[in-house]
Amino acid sequence: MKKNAWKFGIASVGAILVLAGCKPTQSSANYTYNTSLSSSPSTWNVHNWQTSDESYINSFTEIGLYDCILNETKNGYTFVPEMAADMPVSVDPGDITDEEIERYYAGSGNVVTGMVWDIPLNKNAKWEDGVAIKASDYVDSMELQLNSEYANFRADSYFTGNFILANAENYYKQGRSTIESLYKYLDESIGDVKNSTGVYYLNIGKGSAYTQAISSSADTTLYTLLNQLPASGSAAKLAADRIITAYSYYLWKSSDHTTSKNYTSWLNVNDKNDPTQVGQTLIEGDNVDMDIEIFNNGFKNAAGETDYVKTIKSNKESWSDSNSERYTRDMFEADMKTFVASVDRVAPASKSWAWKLPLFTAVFTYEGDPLSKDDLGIKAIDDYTLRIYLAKSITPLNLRFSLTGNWLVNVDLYRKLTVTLASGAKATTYATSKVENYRSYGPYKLTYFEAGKQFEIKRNDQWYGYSDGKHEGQFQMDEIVTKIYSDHTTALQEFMAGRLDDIDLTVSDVRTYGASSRCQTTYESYTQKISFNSDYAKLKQLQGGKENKTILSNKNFRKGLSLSLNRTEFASQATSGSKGFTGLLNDLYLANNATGESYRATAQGKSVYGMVYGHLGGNTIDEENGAALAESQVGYNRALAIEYVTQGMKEELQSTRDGHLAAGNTISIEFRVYDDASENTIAAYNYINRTWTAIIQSAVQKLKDQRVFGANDDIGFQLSMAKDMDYYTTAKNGGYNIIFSIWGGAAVNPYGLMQVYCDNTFESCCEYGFKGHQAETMLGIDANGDGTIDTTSEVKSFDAWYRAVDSGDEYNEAKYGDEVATTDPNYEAWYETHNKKLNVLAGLEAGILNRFEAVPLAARGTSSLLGFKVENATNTYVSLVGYGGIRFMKFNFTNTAWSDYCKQNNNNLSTLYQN
Amino acid sequence: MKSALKMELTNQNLQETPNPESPNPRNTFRRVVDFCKKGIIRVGKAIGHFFTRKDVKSTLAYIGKRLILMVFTFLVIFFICFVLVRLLPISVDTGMKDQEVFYKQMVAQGRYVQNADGSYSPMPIMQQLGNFIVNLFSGGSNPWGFSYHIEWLASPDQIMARQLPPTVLINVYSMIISIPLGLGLGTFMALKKNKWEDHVLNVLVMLFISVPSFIYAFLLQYLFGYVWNVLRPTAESANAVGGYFSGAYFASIILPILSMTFGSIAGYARYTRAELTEVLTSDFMLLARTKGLTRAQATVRHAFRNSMVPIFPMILGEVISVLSGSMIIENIFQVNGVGGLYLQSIQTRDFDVFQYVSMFYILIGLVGTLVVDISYGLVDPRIRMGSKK
Repeated sequence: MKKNAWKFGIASVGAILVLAGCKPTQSSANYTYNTSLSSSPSTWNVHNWQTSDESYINSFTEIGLYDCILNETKNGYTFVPEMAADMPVSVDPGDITDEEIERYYAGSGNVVTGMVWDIPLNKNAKWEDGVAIKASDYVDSMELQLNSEYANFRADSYFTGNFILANAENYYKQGRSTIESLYKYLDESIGDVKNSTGVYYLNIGKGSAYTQAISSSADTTLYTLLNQLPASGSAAKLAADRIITAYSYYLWKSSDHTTSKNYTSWLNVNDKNDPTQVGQTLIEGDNVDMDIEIFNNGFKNAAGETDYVKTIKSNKESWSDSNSERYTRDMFEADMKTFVASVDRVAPASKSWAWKLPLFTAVFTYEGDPLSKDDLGIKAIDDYTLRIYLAKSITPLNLRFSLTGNWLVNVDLYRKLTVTLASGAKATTYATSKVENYRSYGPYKLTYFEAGKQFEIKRNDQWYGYSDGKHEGQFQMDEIVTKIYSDHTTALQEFMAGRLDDIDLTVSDVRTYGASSRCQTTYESYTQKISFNSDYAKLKQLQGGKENKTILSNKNFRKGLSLSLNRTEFASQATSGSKGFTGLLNDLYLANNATGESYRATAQGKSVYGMVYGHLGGNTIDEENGAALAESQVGYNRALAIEYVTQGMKEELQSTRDGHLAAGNTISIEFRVYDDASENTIAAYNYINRTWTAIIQSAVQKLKDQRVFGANDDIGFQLSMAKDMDYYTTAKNGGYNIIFSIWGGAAVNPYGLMQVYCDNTFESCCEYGFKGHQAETMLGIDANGDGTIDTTSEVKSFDAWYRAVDSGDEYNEAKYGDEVATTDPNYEAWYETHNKKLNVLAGLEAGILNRFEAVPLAARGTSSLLGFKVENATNTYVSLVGYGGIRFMKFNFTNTAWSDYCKQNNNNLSTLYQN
Repeated sequence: MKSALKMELTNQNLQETPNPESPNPRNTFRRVVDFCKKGIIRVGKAIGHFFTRKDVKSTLAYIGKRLILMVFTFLVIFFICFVLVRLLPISVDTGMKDQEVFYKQMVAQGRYVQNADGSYSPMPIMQQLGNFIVNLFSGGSNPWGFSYHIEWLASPDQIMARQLPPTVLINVYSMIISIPLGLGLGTFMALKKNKWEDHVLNVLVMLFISVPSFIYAFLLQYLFGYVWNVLRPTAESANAVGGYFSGAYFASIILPILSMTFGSIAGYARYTRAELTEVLTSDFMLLARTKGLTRAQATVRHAFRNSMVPIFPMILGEVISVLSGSMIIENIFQVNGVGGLYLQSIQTRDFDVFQYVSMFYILIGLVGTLVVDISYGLVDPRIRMGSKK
């Protein structure tokens, strides 16, 4: 027994040691690339991907019809056919049959070159299980991509931008409707909206295209317009009051307000039993669309009884039974006519149907004949030829760009994994949760997936590229093992132990490893900016007590804050790889897609800095003759910053507006951020807080010296950080002071990015004070470059400039071709248009920057360390293709050799990586 | 009570002949095995005894009362949790990628209502609660909703089932190590009370109790995983290395097991030492020795048994809590368990998963507390439950 006890003890310890010594199963692969992500993708369905993590797996397992790869000289990019057998062939419009025109172009007959393309498909392309991929797979996949029942997130990729598939938008939107301002969609020839359902809504609590046309502000509600008519006892005033009261009555009676956040206010109305007490706050707060048929048909009140809308008979008396009457649709229509006529500031106000202008209507997003899959602008000509019908002409270069992404899915599996949700909508679990739910067709295939932990991607033996002779020397790695490390420190240690082959660096890591020969920066097309809320009214609402926020509406103040930021210092202290930057479009944006010329490298791109900082180099304010601020200063001039902040504060102190800055106030700015615990965010906040506190203290002292306010008074400053994971939505509604807004777009289309700043209808514009005013704010741009601004043709609103440069014919350089050589007869015309377009782009960029509502800080980049095990094709970052990617990555070590190398270094390579 | 004790001692004397062997440390293992065997038999007897006692009625009534209270507590917590979770703002960004589908789905799940004008607004929370309960008991599909971020359209229970095995495994291994070691160490300390061995161990025990587990988790990971390279610093993906019971997987979870074990060992040792020290100085121990039992016999058979009264419920609590994971330890060692799932559900705003995991944790806590309380009566018949006197 004694012996047994000892044996048992020894055996137990031995077993533990043996197990501890066990290594994970060694892969038979020679070249394994080990990498990590911080979280696992919930889906990698190409129809639905949203975040970069969600497109990670299919970047290995799928490939486009064409691919943009590093060129032979490794300093640019070139296109190669992949899933396509050859380059796309433009179909002569004359060869398009009447049946095709009827089907895809609704009988318009307006088919021009560049709208119909034939794409020969690669006959060797197969799914990972060896089944051939044919043209019908592309057609069926596109149908699923655009099927309205699935409502796939990426559907709009095929009906917005350059690549617009015929009938795609209508196919996707058929059967859907939204409520829109009637005025916005008005067709004057019919006095209505073309696709109207005939249901009209009254909503006096929100702004509309109509209220904007009258007041020039998208925020002005119909209530404000109705309420601001002079109280002269006029018929118009009575009509307006009757509309307000009727709407208020409906709001008051139609729902139970006991659960409302405005319950106490509603209680007041209930107590007084008077709909005229409802007031602006409740009307604009509840913001309800009321079907105007309710005026005739009545509605179910909160008690479930049928009730009818009532309103006042006269506005000379208060609400009472004797001064109220049932309000019918006819009465409403008559009152609306009176009101609309009284504010006759929009063109059709005199028309008989003009009473509908302030209303909303349910608009069918598509109300034509039902479309079938066959109507989609994609057709299989034969098994290996795909014909694409586009709604808009596209150049060969842009087409190849567009087709670097793919929409191909394994249709049978996709359908098999489709579930019908309780709502009736369909969703598929294709490309989610397990290997069996997915089919690869790229150079690699997914072989293992454990959500939240690890996935493995191995060489796909069925891929044509390994045997077609066109990919020799490419895709050397056999296997990619990706582990999920939510904790960065662990991931970094794994990298230093040689178990990961790359690692993104944080701000503090950059201090240690920034000088490493293995450190590389991957630039992104994003610019990190501070976006200010400059809307005085909104800021006033957000401030309370002794706080002041309205000062953010002062341009000089914002300008001063901008000049105070040393962007180079900011980038080094608060970012891991970004570089200080003052523009909206960084080096990655291309001015010429054919040559790869960067917009920033053009004369126009370079001129922007001068247009903004041309007179900001001195130490006193001189807007006309001030010296230029050196480009090396990257928008930083501390002395002038103090001057502008002082000037801004002085203007606000002397303002007579309600809610202006006063002595004794604290300028309290709330900085809304996505993650207030992130190392980079904290570093950024600390830098900005430190800088602005110092600047404002200096400005306050100056103001004291100038006796703008008493020596015993003071003005404080406080910058607080608030976590708001939905801060873009908050910004959309103006409920913020400042945020980091980080916008970027397709590097091949810098003009498109201007939408986020200049498009009057763009909902997510982050500069709230400017949002909705782009169509009325004028900007002069020397578009033709003759040195003067022609007030008739070169002064337009921001919105008009954007639309002209983005889609207008005047600046459409593509009509001359996209790879125009100097010998080409079109070259001069192309060159002139090209330059004009760049002039407008530079003018728009400078125009936005000069408002100092969007203050750029850094061009986004991420520093990372690349392991000794592998080598990129180039050390110079190339737009669109980075350092060459996995296609050209070479291995310095096999798995075994690397393991030995790490052992020789005690599995700790940190010292080596510092050099 | 005294008569019961006397009878017990007498019975033991009748059943067993005194061990002629002198106390020898080499016999300890055999004794522990014997003790465990007898312990199991005694627990069985105690359960039998428990249900045949005269006061069983009042005990069952007590258990019934506690069960009702537990259900009530669970419902209160569930209500609070439900209300708070439903008050959190959700938007289309929360998951469904199309606004219209998102709102329709919310309507179908009883969270939103579509107004006459076609717009959507959140349903009053009490109505949402009603809908949730109806859905839960009507056997509707996915009553707990869906995950939109952790695993697209998977139900929270599916995800939970997937994440449970590593958590359970680590907890079980940790328990297997910590209970015998903790009890053994505590016994040793009690026997060596106020000697240098006791003092040294006391310092260590206090150190491991005072220092949060994540500190030595980091330390273990750094030293064993990265400096000395003798153990895997992070857990492997089980299926990639041959399954949960493969050697490679076990090797990769040794460090998290140790991290979870140290605190437990220290806790058990401290309690055992305290209880055993008290029991060893009791009068009946003197009686046992005077009746001819060796020190070891008296300690193992009488003192240790009595000292187990407060410790056994602790063990029972730990057995139940094997289902719950340690958020911090799992995060440090990248264990793909329920602790990490809880954190992830918060970080990604996967609210349905968050609510499900929260309720799961709460249920484990409540059941654990109830079982521990009931076990006092099982372990020590002298403890009367539900007695009004």
